[in-house]
Amino acid sequence: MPSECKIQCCKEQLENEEVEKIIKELSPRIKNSITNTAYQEREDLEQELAIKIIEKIQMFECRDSPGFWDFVQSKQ
Amino acid sequence: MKIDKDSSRIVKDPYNEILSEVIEQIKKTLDQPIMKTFLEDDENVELLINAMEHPTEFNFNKLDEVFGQHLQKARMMKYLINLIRIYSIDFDKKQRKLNDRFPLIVDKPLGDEGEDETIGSLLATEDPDFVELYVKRNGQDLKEFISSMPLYQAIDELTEKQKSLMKLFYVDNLSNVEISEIFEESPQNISNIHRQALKKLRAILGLNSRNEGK
Repeated sequence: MPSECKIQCCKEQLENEEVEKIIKELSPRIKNSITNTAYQEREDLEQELAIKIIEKIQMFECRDSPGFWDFVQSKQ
Repeated sequence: MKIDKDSSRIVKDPYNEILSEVIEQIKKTLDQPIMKTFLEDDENVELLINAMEHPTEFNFNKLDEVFGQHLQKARMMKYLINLIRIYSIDFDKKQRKLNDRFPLIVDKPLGDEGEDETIGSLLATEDPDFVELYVKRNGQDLKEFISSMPLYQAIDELTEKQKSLMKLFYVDNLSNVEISEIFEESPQNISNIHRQALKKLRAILGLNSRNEGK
């Protein structure tokens, strides 16, 4: 039971790292888009965007995508 | 011996054919943006070469899996980039609306034509001195604000109460309810007095009540 728990924790942590990486990758775009709003709202918007991204990444994880051979075949 | 040689050739030939066919197919997809970005990573190129040189099931599946992940990530990134752009615009709209409805700054001007009146001054009218203030200002004559001669004369015909009511209504921009508080009467009564005053003025000025809107 404890070992199972440990594995789950590890998995979660990995996912968190992944999400963090994605947010870091997107951060120039976030920094750019927060200029769309007033100066005093920017910090709020940045946070809201991060929340939205995390939500949407979880949504994406449930989706299937074609593999290499499917892709090559579909483009014949 | 002879048969063996033949069979090995038979086995080998279709295999090479399939491989070259696969390579042809891959070549066709090389101009696809997703394939370009996939092959930008040296590790992925290595996987592809590996799969071609040693076409084992493991190598094929590995390539398949990595490509699937790459495609999924590319899709997700595209979606997220769009999300960031659109969400930031929506967020700004929402905040503007909110600020407009629930302002936090009390010295924001009420009108845009350089008026001195601010939201803060409106709040000040909630002061208990509110009634006193208006009663005091009531000393000012309504006629001071009239520039039309016939109207100036016509106002003389009104009763004192009607005059001060008209002044509160048109000069101080008070509502029926606020005026009723000053006079300590019902808003309905204020409305009636107001209507009668207007009727009287119209009669004096020789205006038909049908011209009211014009």
